[in-house]
Amino acid sequence: MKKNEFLNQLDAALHGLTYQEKQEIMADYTEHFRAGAEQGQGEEEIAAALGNPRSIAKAYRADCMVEQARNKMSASNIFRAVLAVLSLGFFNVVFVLGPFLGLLGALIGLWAGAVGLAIAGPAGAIFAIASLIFPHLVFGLGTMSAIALVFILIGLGALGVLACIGLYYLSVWFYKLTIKYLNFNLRIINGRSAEQ
Amino acid sequence: MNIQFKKGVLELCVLALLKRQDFYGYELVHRISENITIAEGTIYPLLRRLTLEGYFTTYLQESAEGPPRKYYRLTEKGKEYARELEEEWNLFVEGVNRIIGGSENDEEK
Repeated sequence: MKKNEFLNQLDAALHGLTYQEKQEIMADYTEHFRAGAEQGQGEEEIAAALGNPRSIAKAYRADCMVEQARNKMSASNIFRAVLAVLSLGFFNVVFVLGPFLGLLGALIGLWAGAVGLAIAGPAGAIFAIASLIFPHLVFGLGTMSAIALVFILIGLGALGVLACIGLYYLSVWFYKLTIKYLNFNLRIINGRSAEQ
Repeated sequence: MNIQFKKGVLELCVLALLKRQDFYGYELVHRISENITIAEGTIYPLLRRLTLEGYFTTYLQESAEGPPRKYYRLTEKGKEYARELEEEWNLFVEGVNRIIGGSENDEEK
């Protein structure tokens, strides 16, 4: 592989990085080729010693995507970070994807429950109030049990709203935990590509 | 070779070299690959990561042959980290050597 081919492949494989990140990385390899040439090495020799540009790019992408997700909190950023780390190998599919999907599933389940309560509580309370005002139109609850029902449903709705607030903090925490874990994982696994 | 292990060793090699003097990328990579079989391209991501984590700073210096080169210099934090890794490495190697040499139980006797 010649210098240009190597640099083009690397450049193409570094998608998703910021312009500045890409510039810095490409400059390092351009300099490497130049310094190698000064030492009398041929382009193909230098490229062969560097290794596969695509696996080199994977290491950078994992680092940069996790960094981006840390700097700017968004669902798409965290998914891209997880995917970039996953691309580093089978080991990561087991140790990153498994726990991530498991916790994400639990979180989504909790959100569904909390939102359900927050909506169903007040909605049910409105029906119960309606049954108080129009006892014959809506279902035939006794006055006392209808009043009790209103309070119970409002209570459940409030509980749902509280759960949503709690879950918001839990989600933020989960996001940060994921970043921490990805970073930890990168520290451990980075040497892996060295074996390929 | 164990994954954790190799990653740690590469880091250690980079830090140990920079402890002695500043290097530019090619030189640093070359010194490592002379001694350890490794795809040279995997050292640059490591250099970038360690720079971002504050273990190195970089500066540009003119070279006789052409455009300026990017040199890496160890920070105080980097020196401290290098000492820690070296210590861990020495303990580890001593332990492994005791086992290989068949004298791992000597201390208990």
